[in-house]
Amino acid sequence: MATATNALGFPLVSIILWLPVAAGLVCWLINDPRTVRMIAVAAALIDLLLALFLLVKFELPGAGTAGWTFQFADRHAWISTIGVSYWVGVDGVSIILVALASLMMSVAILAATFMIADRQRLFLILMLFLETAILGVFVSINLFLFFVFWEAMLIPSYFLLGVWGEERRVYATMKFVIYTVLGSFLMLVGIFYLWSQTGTLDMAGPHGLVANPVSQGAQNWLFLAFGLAFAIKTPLFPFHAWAPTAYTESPLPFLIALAGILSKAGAFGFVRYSLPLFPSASHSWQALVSILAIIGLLYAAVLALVQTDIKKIVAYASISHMNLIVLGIFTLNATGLDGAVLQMVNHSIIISGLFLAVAYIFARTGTRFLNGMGGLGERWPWLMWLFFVFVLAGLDLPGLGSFAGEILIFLGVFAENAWFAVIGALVVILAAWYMIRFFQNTMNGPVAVSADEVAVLAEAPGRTPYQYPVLRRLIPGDLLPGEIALFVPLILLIIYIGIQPYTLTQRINPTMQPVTTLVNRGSLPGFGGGR
Amino acid sequence: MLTDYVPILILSLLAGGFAATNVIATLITGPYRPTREKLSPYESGMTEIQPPKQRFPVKFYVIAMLFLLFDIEGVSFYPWAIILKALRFPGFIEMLIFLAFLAVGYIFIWKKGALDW
Amino acid sequence: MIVAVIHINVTLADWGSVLPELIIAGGMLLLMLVDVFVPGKKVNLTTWLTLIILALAFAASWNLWRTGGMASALYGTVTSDRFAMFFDFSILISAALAVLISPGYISTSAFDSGEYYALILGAVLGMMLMAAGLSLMVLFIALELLSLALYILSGFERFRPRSQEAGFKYFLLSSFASAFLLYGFALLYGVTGSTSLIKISTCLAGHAHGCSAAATSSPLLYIGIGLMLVGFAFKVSIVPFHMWTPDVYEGAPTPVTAFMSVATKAALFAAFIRVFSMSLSTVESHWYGALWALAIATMVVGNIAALAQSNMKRLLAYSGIAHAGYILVAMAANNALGQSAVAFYFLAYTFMNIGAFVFVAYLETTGRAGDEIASYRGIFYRNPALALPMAIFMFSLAGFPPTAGFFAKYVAFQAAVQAGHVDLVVVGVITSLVSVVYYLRVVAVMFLQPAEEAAPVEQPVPPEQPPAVEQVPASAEPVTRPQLPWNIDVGIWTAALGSIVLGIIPTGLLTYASESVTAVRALFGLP
Repeated sequence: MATATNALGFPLVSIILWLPVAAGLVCWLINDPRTVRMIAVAAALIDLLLALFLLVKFELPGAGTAGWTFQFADRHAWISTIGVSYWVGVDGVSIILVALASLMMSVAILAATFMIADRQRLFLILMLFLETAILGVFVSINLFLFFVFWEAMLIPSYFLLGVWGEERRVYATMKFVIYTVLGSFLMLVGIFYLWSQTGTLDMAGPHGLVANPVSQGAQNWLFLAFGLAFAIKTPLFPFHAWAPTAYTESPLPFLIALAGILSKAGAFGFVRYSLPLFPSASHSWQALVSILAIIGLLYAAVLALVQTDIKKIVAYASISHMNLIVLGIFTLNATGLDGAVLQMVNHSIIISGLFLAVAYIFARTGTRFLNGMGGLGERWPWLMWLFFVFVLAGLDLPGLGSFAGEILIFLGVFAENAWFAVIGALVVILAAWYMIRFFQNTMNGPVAVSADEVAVLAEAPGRTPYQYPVLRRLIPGDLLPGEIALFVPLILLIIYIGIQPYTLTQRINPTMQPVTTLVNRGSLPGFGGGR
Repeated sequence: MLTDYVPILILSLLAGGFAATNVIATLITGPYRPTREKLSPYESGMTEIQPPKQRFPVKFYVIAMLFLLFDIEGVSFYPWAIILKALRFPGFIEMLIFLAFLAVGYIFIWKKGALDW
Repeated sequence: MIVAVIHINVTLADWGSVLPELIIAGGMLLLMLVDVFVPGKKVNLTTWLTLIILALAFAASWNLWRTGGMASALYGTVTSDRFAMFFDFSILISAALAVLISPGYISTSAFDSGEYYALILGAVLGMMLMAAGLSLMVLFIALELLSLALYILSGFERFRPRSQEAGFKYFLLSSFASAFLLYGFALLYGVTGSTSLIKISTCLAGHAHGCSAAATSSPLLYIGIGLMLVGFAFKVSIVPFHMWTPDVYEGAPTPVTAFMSVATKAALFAAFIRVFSMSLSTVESHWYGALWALAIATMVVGNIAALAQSNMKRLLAYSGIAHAGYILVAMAANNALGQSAVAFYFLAYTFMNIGAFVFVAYLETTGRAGDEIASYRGIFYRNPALALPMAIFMFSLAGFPPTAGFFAKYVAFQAAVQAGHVDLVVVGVITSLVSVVYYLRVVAVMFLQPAEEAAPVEQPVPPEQPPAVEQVPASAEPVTRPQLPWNIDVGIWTAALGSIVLGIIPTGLLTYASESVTAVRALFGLP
């Protein structure tokens, strides 16, 4: 049984959840672009501060507290006739993801203030709406509420990608939406079925879904219905086809949200819903999902290796790492799960940093293709060195954040199946290869385009520094203070997690322990419904 | 259950059979000597003055329709009149309201010019 | 001479329970008089008058809702229970929204406004009686009343062939369907010996005197149910009786289409539920199979046919067919939750569907873009205040949270799962997925494809300054934003607000819907 408490006494989680949407509505009423920017940035930063406060106040399980607890819970009756309540709260996994999401959304919104010129106000409003939807996915303790937020993520995404995206945005948007909706509608059938079996959609509590698992036969089908939605969002191979197009066509601030946070929602879905609700099915499907994940991580890595478009290199790198996270989740042991959640944080930071670097390079060279680059580091050393940090993190240099996560994942995989670990670990070589290739071909080597040519390019009309159809001129010099400012928190965090991953794992592990117990024994000893 | 309907079936068969028999019998037994006059539309010995295929003004239909409408509504006065005593005063009021409906309709078509020939 | 002894037990309360209907009827007469006696142009006067009448009727309905109404009035022919009132709300709101957007249409198409509004009120009267009828006779009269008014309204643009075609087609096919329904009613009367729905249900449950013991297995009952099903299916455009819908919706004046697409269905479904789910609930096995097949056919055909449409009104017609399918799923559940889902669905559908038609109606009257979807290209860049609500309607119709459409569909499907009809729900969910494609295509045309003339404004940035916060040109949005007429503004934002609010806080209205169902179930002695 999972329990929910609130030591704080006031609904801080709800405040964090609804603050962005409230700010978005305020922005709707204001026409002055500067005020709108201020409000949007302020809302994102306040949300980040509140989330960090929550992270600090999060009670670590001592001797007295054990089991799967949701803290800072806030519950209201909503539509009780169909088992629906408004119930939010955080466990050790979601608290970290809430903090991560509010950080990445702050970065994205700050980026949007200077990267989006066209209809900026509407862009910021949609980003704020998106933030609430994403946070809602992480904090819901009711399955219906979760589904509402899960689907609600799609609406702002549709516009952010479709209106501000690059040339093939319409195609990318439709593909993205149809894939996502396919998954989530099947999940909806699963939710209906769960409700008809149990009469509730609450996760925690003695009558909640966790305490009352459905029959084994039903679990297998429900796992598929839910799993498809999560697999598409993650994206797990072979449901990833939407991702490269969507990533390539996204405007950068939205891309930080999409690759950085939205993909985590899929992985989070596996951890929070698939595993605890369908424990025996998770075991039945474990091998299949693991094999898919291994294929996916190697396949995407190989594709990353042969791309010439730098945005695509990072896109495939992202897909490869997300598959690695799924592999970690389906070890179904606490080590692998800890690593997977830790890696979610690392992946989010690194991928966002790499995509930012891609955007900075594009804003200076006017191209995203490797053949137009080379020797950029000479001209823009700040860009090179800061970019280098993310490259190193991307190839799992010990001492940086991703190393700890990947080690934990592979330890977990090794405990389950040594062969999986051996084959999967090949990705480390591939990752190093494509990262170095990416870095060398852009920053080092012979200068492909001379300074004079860049000057000519800069004069060419009708191009845009960041946002697709409105490039007016290229940025001539090295990184600007605003651009560096976006890198700084990410780099600090990479280093901090590399040195001190314990800050995160001590919160993750107490949640993952009961979940793994639940998955491996079918029920929580001592936490059963009768207690 | 269905056997209850057998008499109806027999009756309809009889009726249909009777009609068919008569038609066929006249065709067989009757003499058939057509002349031009007999085949003309008015078979009363009179020659037609002008071809009968004429157009009637649409007003005719409108008036006819309105006549039918008010006529049928008027018919509902009869059962009402018979039981008026039992209905007493509320019944009288109800009929007045009904009349008001008719009156509004009448005024409407009048003003719209539906009654102008 | 024999004077019949008549016990008149019609009290003022009886008339009070049809007060909303009386207000509408009186208003109709008033409008006819205004039409002939007030000289000159009177669009504003008649529009306001109609809105006031509808508001009065709404207030009267609300009062009846508050007091609970009368279970059965006027010799058990009509009821003013909460179920009827709940549907009245949908009908009145959709009529008011349709009236609100009519003036522009009336002036461009040179309608006779008094007649037009009187006919709308006539249709409303028929619909409200339909929702309130407790007797087969009243149901049929109400049906004829609403149909006659709608035949004329569909063909109201006399000089446009499309409109003529719509009126004529609707008249021919729909009166044919009325005959089916009437025949079905007659057979039902023949089997049970009563036109009262309540008596029919007691007869079929086997508790009535003077009613054949074998009534439930009588072949006439089967035939009657079949004929009634055909009649109802025709009127609410259920596949395979839907062929008239796209043509009529396309040809009829847009405000009329908006009104009939929602209110007719609401009224007919109210009667459908009263007759089938209530009166004939004991013989559910007789009709469940047919309903099941109709629901699946409707969802599949409606959604797939909608994929191929390039005309917005036709698309909405097929989408309406598809939604009738989802509503049938809720109805097929045949439990209290399913029936309240139907009631709630119509309230949600009122806002989202009429909202979409408001959009079409406005564009038609401005003449810039008609009902062709291709002409909506980049409309967001020219007129965001029009495109944003339209996007809300499309997302709501497609069933995305947090909109009313999602919630309505959710409850409908959940009711079906509760009743064990998972097969229907799976088909419903898969066809909903198909529907996402065509609804979002409309949004894509409006938002994602900029119109050719909407090229970004060239505004050079001084080269020495970094692209910091201050650099963003404030005038990136078009300066001259077309102003919407106030009535379109009110109509479209009311609908948009309704579509959102019903999705976020549906609790109160869902409770109302289930209260209304409790009332009607109690009337028929169902738990």
